[in-house]
Amino acid sequence: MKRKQHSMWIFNPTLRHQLTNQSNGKSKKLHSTDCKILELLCQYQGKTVSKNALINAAWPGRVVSQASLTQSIAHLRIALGDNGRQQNIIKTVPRHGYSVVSDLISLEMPVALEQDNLSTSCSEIPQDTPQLEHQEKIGLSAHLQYLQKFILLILSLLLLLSITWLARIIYYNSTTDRLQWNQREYLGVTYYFTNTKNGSQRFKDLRRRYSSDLRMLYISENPEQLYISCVYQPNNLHERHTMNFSFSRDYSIEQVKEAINEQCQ
Amino acid sequence: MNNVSKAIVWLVLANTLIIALLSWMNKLNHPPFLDGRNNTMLFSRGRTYTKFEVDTFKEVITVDHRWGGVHDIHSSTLSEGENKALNVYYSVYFWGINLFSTTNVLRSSNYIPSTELDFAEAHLINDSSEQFFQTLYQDKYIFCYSSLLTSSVQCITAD
Repeated sequence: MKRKQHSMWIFNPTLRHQLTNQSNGKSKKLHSTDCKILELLCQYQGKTVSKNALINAAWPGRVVSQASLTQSIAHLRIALGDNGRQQNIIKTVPRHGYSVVSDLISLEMPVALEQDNLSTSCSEIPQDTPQLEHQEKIGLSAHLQYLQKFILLILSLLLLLSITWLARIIYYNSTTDRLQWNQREYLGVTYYFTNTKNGSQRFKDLRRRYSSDLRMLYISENPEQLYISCVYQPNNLHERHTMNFSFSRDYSIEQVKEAINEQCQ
Repeated sequence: MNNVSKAIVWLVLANTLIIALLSWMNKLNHPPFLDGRNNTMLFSRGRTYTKFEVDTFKEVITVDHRWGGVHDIHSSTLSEGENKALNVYYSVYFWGINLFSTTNVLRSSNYIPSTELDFAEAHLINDSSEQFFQTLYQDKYIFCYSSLLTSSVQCITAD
């Protein structure tokens, strides 16, 4: 980097705020076109730069009127605390172009750029980098929003599913009618039968002295079948066994009792 | 924190609460008979008496606990004199302390209504709807239940 001492302004086209006032340290940001014009003027300080050269530098490949150049010069003069009447820093060379008074503006730029003799694009480095960062930020933000919405959707569905399942449990548990069962002891056997007239009748029909192995007898029925389950424990064993019976209505109560006595021991 | 983030936090809390409640209810409704038996084998024996014949059969049931309180059941029933078992696969969920249901019933191709001597049970072979059962008795080794559809009773033993 090179810097000329005692300049009023430091101009570095690679910075975000390209123009810095040496006396108060305040920096200003220039439009990219204004920056390119000032850059070219600073490269040829004390010399006149033609309007066409300035237009080509600021708007390469584009057809623009001289009014645009005049406006940019006006912007630069305002930024530099100059004006068209005084022309302390930027001078108008009538019918030819403009020039910058020598030693008032110190042009700073990386050595590599100087060596390459590149006209540093004011717009590319100082403006595009933040633009890229901004675009990346926007991209990240959009990604985050998408992710948030996705999580929101999944959690909402999960909640809906859980509430539905909970409601199902409560609904089934509270609305499903259970059979009422009675329990009676008779000669060492516990009889379980439905709390209906038929259930009580079946208990009366089936109670008798069974094998001493028999512990419990469950009795139920529908119009087609009579169902009986017995739990018994053989005297010589500790473990209990079960037997499930299904009798068609063709079987008499005596046959049923006989089957229980035979099988539940 | 934006509104979406607030909603996410709220939903996480609500989900945690509901899932905790569901877990607690599943634990409450889970039968003590199956406690400590994450993968177990149950047994039952039975006889079906019809006018013309008596069918003696034995049944072996395996129970697998699944996530969320669901149990996968595989049952094989073998009749005396037969060498090919009838297989049934279904899921069981315990809705209350004495209420459970079976769903997603799949039967082996040889299990057809004509193989079932109990007319009411034979009717249900082609019925895939959910069936509810009432627990009648249970201890560490015996579990007795009744079908709320057919009123049949069954007792099964563990080990």
